[in-house]
Amino acid sequence: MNHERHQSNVSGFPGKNEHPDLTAALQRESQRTPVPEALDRRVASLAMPVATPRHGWRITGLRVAAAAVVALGLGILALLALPQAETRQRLSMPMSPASAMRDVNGDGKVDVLDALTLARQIERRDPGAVDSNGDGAADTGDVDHLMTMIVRLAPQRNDS
Amino acid sequence: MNLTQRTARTALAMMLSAAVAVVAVSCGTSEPSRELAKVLGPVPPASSPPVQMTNSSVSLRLSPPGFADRASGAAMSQDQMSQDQHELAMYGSAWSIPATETMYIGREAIAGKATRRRSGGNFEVAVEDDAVTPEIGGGTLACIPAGASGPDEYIPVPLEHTDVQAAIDGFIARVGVTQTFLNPYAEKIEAVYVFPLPQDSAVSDFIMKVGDRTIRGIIREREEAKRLYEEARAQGHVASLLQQERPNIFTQKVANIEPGKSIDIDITYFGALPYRGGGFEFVFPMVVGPRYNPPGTTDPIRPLPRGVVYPTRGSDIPAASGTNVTYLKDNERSGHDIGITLELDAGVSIEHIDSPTHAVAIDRTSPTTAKVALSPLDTIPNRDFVLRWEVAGDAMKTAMLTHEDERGGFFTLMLVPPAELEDLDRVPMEMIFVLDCSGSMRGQPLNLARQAVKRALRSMRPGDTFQIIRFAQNAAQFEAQPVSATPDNVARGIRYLDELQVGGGTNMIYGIRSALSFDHEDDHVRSIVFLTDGYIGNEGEILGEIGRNLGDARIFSFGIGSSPNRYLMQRMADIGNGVASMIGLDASRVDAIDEFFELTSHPALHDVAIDLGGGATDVFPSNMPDVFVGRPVFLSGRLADGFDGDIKITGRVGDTAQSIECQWDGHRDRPALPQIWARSLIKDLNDRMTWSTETGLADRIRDTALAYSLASAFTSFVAVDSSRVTEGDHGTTVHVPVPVPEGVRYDTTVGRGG
Amino acid sequence: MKTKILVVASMLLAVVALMAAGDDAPNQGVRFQPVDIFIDSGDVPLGAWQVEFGGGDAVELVGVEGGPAPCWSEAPRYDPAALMQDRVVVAAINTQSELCAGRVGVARLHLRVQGTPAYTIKLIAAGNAEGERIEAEVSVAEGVSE
Repeated sequence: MNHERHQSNVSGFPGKNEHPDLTAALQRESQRTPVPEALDRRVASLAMPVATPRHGWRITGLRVAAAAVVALGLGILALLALPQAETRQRLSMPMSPASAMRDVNGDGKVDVLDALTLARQIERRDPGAVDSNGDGAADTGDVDHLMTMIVRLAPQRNDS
Repeated sequence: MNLTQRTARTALAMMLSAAVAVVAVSCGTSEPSRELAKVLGPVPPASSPPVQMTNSSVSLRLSPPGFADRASGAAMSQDQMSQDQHELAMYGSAWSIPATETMYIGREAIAGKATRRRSGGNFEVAVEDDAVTPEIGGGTLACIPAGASGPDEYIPVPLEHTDVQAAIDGFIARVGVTQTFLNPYAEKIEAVYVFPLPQDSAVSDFIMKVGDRTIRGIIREREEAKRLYEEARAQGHVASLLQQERPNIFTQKVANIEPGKSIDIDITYFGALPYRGGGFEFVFPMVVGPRYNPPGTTDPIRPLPRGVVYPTRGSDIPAASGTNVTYLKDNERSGHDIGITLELDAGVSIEHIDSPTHAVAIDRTSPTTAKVALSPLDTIPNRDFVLRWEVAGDAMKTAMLTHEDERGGFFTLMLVPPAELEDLDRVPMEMIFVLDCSGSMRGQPLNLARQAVKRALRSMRPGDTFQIIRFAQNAAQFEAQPVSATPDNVARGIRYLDELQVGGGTNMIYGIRSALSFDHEDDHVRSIVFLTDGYIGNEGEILGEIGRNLGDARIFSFGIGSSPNRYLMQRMADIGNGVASMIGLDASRVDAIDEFFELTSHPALHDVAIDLGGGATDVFPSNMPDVFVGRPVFLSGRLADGFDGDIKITGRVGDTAQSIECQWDGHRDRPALPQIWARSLIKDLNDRMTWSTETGLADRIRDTALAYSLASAFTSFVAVDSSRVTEGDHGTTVHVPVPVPEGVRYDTTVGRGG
Repeated sequence: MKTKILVVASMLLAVVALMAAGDDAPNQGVRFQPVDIFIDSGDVPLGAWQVEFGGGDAVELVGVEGGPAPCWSEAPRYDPAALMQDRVVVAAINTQSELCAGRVGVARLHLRVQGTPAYTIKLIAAGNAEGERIEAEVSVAEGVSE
């Protein structure tokens, strides 16, 4: 029996409310589509060089597990010993002076109010609207650009 | 429960589990895990029941907006027909239906009788009358051959549609991809979809839409993102995870999709567009081709027939290793389709624009801009979408874009070789042609590769030398050493090509080793020309071999087929200081080999140096490539403080120094540039990982990707809807099966294990 | 001999306990829950807002969504690499004519919580419809997974 038993002809699609039973379909499929042994062997042979060695794995497995536990313990100790600041430092990039931020409203700060002010200027076709992203026109792309910069976290002291 | 009790219980559970595992292994249990299963169940179509026509003579009129003026179109070549490729990319205004075939239009199936005639290399379908005009909203017209069970082969998949919206500014593309997942089943599922993106794309934004709610995702280290996703999935939350498997292959997982519910995933990426063959190209790949994984491949891209559960019975392969891609059989179709719209602002006058691969509607909104849409009748996602536009040759100038923010300065530079190079002649060449003769190249792909090499052989000069290497399961070569390109030797080479047979796996590494192992004369420039579809899973091994043993050779790679492995082609050429070209499946593109000769018929600009006043750092690619006539290169780097627009670029042609002028528009706010630079850095680090013994490369990739919010091999995007818990357990995993690329035979790739 | 067996058995037990603890630890008490950010702008319709949110070591951000208030249903902007430094800056503007006043939910943060969170919230800026700075109060409230 094939899966098409639910739709055996052009007009035989089940209606919208006739949801098929997925689990049953899967079970049928797993029984119905045995993996050809030749394919099985082929895939296994290709993968063997990267799979777990099978000779003596029970013996070596314990050794590996014991070594892993020791390594795990050392790793945990190392993690506990590492100051948090080092982790942060690792995740940050070198900083250079910011220069592209736009203080649109001239209040000495660059924040979301500059983005809204710019958006309103663009709406009014204000000739003073800043072409923030340098594409030749002041438009919503400039507001997007400003918003992206606003939400970016300032670097922490230990980042530099 | 105290620690001792918990430990004892855990130990007992472990012992029991171990015992069960031992029994399971020894018995070779065949019960598949639910997570690994592929689902084949039927599904109710989303649209109304199919139109059925019993009339003996029926014709249809398809008039989607924007295409009514196209009276007829190419359908399918005879060669393709003989290879059992049964898809018709039809974009005519009217078609009639072959007598013995069933036609699909989107989700609707139509049976009827009509005529079909051959015209030249293509089939045309005769127009009869307008008697029947069913309401068709668009979709894909597919042809199922007589004997196939037509509608019975409709395969339900939990991915309904992919929508691509691209905005191109000059040579920078910003692309939004929306994947609409829909659960057609009566129970909850997890959908898993393996899909391609351009190899240089910087995936920078990830949004999950649940109903009318929009949740922005976050970027995390790969393993952490996976853990967050698995935890959320296990607790019943709707969640999604985007993982990079290769720079051009991604896996999208969406957990806890309830019956009948739809979830959209929006992905945004940036990329610089390549310039080749006199024009810019925008490429959107649609399907991952079935890869061959040689023995020892540690992270395979595994092609599986739909319905086969992996790991297979009796094997010891860990389920977590590698990536599984499931494929539809030749006579199976899913409802998944694709739409593409593109807004182009070339910045300079567009001389010509067209798609060599798909039917498109083009609206030239101004001399420098255009809007492009994929035809709604050409939406089967089974081959790469390519859009090309040519700009006036003299408009191509070396130009630099810059950006500055609190992270510092960034630039992207398009370096156009000086026109004077075209007046200079080349030195004698040694050409090593390396042909892929594996199973996936059967038919048209190998024919095209043969034609290309023959064309190249006939273009060689007597002072040149050549060699031909074939590889499949193993490698063989035309002669022990390269031979002179005399008429007799060329004729023998052509006979050797004619006698090549296809079959077996794709052990490209043998071809690479053979190609790099010859001694050669110092006064000849060695060019190694690869012609392959690149359907392999061990790209890292190949790139590593090239990186270690390239010497002073150059590598030129030609991608064959409708969806070649562009990542491999491009990276081979990048590392090999050459260029990559795509021949596709179109015989007319064999002349791409002429472009190669044009490139190599003039000396290249080498020893390029850039002086940006205050200094440029971290410029990528780090091994500055030679610049060939007609092939600009793109460089990305950091700007040091104090850059004031003073740009000096120099290079050498032979022993002669060259100075190159560069344009800069003065703008310092191109927000895409930091991510494009970061992507270039990651690409460079990835390459070095394949051949270098340096330590810490993986850490640098991860840190860069996290800092610049980019998906990478070591970072993933994840999004969780924590505000709701779906009912029941985490549901069944359903892999989205995809078609094999157009022109690729299922039986010689997926069906026989690649 | 007995002593050796006991030592070996003890070591094995310790190994098992360590492995069990390692397996259990990541999932112990993990829950996913939303946190809503509210801004009270009094009588003035709110046109823009920007806050800095922190959750302490117990919290990981796993998604950012618009707020329950219809004026702020679009997902706000934030840095996708957020919470790398235990904090995230979230901001949004609304240029529509219909703006909300009073206490409104402007954003929902989706969190993975393990342990006791220590939420902090700081208003960086709030503005009226024209982007002029206004006084406002910000607060957070834990939501419930339905």
